[in-house]
Amino acid sequence: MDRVDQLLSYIEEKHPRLIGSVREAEQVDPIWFRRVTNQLLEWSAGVVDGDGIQVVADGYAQFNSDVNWAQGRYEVDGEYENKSYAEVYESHYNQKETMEAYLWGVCFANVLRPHHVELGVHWEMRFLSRLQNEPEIIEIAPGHGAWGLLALDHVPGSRLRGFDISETSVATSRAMAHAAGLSDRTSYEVRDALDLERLAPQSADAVICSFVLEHLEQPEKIFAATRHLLRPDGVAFITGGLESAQVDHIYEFHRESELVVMAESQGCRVLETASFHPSRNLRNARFLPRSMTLIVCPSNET
Amino acid sequence: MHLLVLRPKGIAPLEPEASHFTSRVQLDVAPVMQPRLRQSIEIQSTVPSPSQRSMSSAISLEGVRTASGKPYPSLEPKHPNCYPRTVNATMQKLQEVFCDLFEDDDIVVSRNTGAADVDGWDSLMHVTLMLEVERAFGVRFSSGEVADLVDVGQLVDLVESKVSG
Repeated sequence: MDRVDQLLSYIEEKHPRLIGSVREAEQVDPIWFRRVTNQLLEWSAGVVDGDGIQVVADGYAQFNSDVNWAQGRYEVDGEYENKSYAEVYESHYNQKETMEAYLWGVCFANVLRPHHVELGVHWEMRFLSRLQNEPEIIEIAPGHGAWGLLALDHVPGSRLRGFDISETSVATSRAMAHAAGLSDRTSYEVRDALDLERLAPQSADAVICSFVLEHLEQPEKIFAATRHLLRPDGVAFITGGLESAQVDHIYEFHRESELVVMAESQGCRVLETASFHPSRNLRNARFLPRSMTLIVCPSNET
Repeated sequence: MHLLVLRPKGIAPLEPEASHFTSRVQLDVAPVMQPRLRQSIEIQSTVPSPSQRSMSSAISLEGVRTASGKPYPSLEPKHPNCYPRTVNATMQKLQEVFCDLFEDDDIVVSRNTGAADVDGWDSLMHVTLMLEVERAFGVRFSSGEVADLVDVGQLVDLVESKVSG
């Protein structure tokens, strides 16, 4: 039984409410699912203490339950629970133990949620395929580090710098890079994602910023930083959650066009967009949670 | 009194007497809280007058003896899985919530009922279920409470603690 089968067996036994959607995720693209899930399991095993499969599966189960419950509350209350970064920082980001489990939940949601498998396939086909000639990549708020490391693993000769406000995230990203054998091509630094315009301009061939916008009070600053960091022929992959409640989501996007307008207002040209949503939603739901991707480049407009 | 589900499988009248009517009844018996413990028993009952008594859903087993002639065991709760009347009411209400939500009148929930026992009880339906339970009982759950629930027994306990607290 390989790692992926062990993970599925563990989820089926310990978290039976989850196994249906996880099997559905596998069916979206079985080859991609097994390849990337195995990769993440291999890397995370080098980071966590004890049984890696148990830690990541339990972390994902906790994360998934919290997200679903937050979505249920959102349906009842009509708005996200928290409105400010300060609230979330105290209740969440500043809790080390909570953050470690949370990071594994977030990390494996990228492969265990069906519509995120769709998004992952899209990211490889439409974004990573654009990166050539040993690109310099900057990852804004890498969190668990997986997105950037998957990019490095996919693009020969690429190098990555990651900036995250959370020390736990930076430590996890470094450990993941070490476990992936990619330490020599990465560097991570504790730095506020909203402080990146102090970095040298036009210093990156690519920018990755995955599911950060909705965590910020001023998400437009991510697009401004992206515009600042990208070389003229550079390209960025930015994702955001719409109508997707989560304990640490504070900025509500309702329409895909909101992100497009925001990107354009900060000097980015939108090359491609795609939006993915779960195949099933809460009963009688008024909100539809979506994960949107934007591939952008610097705009030449003045 | 402990509630039992009594399902007559057959009634065999014996000899009617002037003032008494004796019958032997075969029943499927199961505690409401533990339907999986259903078993078939045979009881023999002598009641004062057949004209004044009729079989109904509420049957007193006082004076009833089992087929072997022994008194029927005490119905007072002795085990932690046997609950007082209020919890039975909670379970009954939860039973209705489950049947409505999963659109299946044949669902019989017990304390041991978990996600694997109910078709469609996945992570998403769990949220809808918990919101329905909140509405039905006028309580509010936290994210941690929702995540930790494994079976209906834990849900009963949680609801009871909220209602009584």
